[in-house]
Amino acid sequence: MKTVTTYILINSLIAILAISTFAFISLHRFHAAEVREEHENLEKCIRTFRELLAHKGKEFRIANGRLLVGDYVINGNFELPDKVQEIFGGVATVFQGNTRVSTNVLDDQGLRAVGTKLIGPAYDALFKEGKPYRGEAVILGVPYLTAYDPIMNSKGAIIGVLFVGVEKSVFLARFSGLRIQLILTLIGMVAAFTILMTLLGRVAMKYEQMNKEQLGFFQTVINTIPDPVFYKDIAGRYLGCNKAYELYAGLPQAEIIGKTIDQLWSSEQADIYRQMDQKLFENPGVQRFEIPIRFADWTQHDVVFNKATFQNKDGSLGGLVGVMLDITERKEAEKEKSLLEAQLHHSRMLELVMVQLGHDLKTPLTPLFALLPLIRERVSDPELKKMADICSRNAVQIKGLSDRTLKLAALSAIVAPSNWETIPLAPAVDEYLLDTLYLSALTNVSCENVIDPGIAVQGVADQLKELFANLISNAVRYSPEHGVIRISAEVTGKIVTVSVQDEGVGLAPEHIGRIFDEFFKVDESRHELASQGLGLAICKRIVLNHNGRIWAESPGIGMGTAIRFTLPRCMV
Amino acid sequence: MDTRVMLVDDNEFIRESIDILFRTMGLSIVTVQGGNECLGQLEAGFKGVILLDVMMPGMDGWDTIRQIVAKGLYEGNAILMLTAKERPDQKMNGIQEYISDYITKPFNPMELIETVKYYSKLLTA
Repeated sequence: MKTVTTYILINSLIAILAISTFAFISLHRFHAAEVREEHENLEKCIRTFRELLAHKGKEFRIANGRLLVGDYVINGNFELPDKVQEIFGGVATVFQGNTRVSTNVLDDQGLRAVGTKLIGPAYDALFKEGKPYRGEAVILGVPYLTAYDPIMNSKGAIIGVLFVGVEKSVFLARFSGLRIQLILTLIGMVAAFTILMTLLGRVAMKYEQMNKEQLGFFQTVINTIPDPVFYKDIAGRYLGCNKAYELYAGLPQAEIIGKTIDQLWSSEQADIYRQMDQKLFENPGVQRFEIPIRFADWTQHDVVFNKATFQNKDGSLGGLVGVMLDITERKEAEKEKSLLEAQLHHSRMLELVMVQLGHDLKTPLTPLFALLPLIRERVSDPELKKMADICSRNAVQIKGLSDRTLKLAALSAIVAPSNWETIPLAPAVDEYLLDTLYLSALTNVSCENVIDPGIAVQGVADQLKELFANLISNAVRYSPEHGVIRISAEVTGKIVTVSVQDEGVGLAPEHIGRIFDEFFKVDESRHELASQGLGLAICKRIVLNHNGRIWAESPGIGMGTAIRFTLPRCMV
Repeated sequence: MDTRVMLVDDNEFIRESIDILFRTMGLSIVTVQGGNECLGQLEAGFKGVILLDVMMPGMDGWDTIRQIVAKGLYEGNAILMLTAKERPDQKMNGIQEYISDYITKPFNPMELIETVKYYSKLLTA
């Protein structure tokens, strides 16, 4: 900023001007004083001259062509002019008429200029007007400062002139010596002053530079703050801001500084800001509030304002500084988190209900299981027997439902992978096939295990057993007489993809995606105990517990189904 | 069957239906509704197979076993737990040795009879 340097520069110029003016005026007055003094000197000189003559005699007269005072002959007598010269310096002359008769004025040959004539304005003053003359005169070509007085006889007629004078050059020389001294002193002062000012100026510039750099550094620092930062004075005018604030406001800093809230924002926003600023100024310290704001790019944000007042050096309130914290994302995340938590809570509650239901069903089922067979035995009527049968079978169905519900609930407990076992797949599948042999034997369905013996998976043994049991029994149930079920496995990287393929009833395209849903049944009319619709849902849950996916493939109705799922491979 | 059988269960229907079942099969059974009554029977001299329900209000099946053992009434008995849960409870820590078997509800009536006969045979052996 130029102000300090300019200030110094201007002040220096003014000072120099003042000094010069002072110098000029001083010299002028000095000169005038000098002149005055010189004139006084001349007066004294001429009076002294007259007195000296008066000592010689009382009256002036001309006799025998000579000028006398009393009996003292003046012509050719240089005693008195020389005496005057001795005392005062300068020159003295006595004129007889207008002719020099006694003088120490020298001509160009260095001899006393006796016999020369008085001419010029002095002559006019004396002989034409009869008055004394004071002033400058040129005598024999040399300028003098002069004083001429008339010499009068006893009758009052002018018979001669008294003269004293000093060469102008001599007088000037005296004066000019002093003048040079004064000028030199003043020049010295000016020079000293200028040097001082220059040094001050350089120091000032250095500090200005430092200040600028510091301000620049400060601006750089606040520009790195990714949140909008701004500061205002107590009148509510913006003093400065950072880049992030420019983005928020959609204006460059130059158009923000100096403006007030009302000049920058819409009336509703300005009102809020003004209110909050006022509150803060009334209670200096820290302020924090949250409001929704629309940014310059028209996006809506939730913003927290963190403001604080700052003080001037003298302790008075200087203004406030504010930082805007954009918490829009955080709020979104919080909302999502609460939503997820609510969902989690909801599903946990649901599971608890299911578990409770599963348990509670067992108690009333117990008498049914115990008594219905007895009833069947005790009655002889075939219809009654049939009725008892129907009741029994339904009780069994309820039990099945309750069992599977409990199983499903139990499966949602996630077992940490660190607790998974290594299970060689081919032998395990052999076991599972044995478990379901009773089913496949019923319809002469044969099962082929073509899994490579080298493949092993990681998982929870019980759950995998349940998984395969469900899939195999499903495949058997939906297979035709003498059908073939094929279980195979493929390895890709860290994943094993298992396929359970049957030659059974297949799936329509619209059902393929839905069969894993809880309680979904392709054929709503099937009421067998095993087809409550939970089997595949349980399978899906188990596969998900192992971070895999499960899906069905079928060319269409009557063309068989393949259920495929992935399991984590055991890499050892 | 010479051995006696006792059913300890808080549910009235279960007690009745098991009672009918045993009578139909020509077997005798004592039914009581809680742990205290069970202890009472044992103190009165009962010895035999005890079908003990797990979930009962007040003193549950496990606590009942602890009481039986504490009172020295275990000798000469076989305890079969009737449980709705499939997995053993943590509460049974320390008393596994006194439990001869687990029967899950709802049980197959014939299987129940067979199991009771089996353990009663063990007792008399």
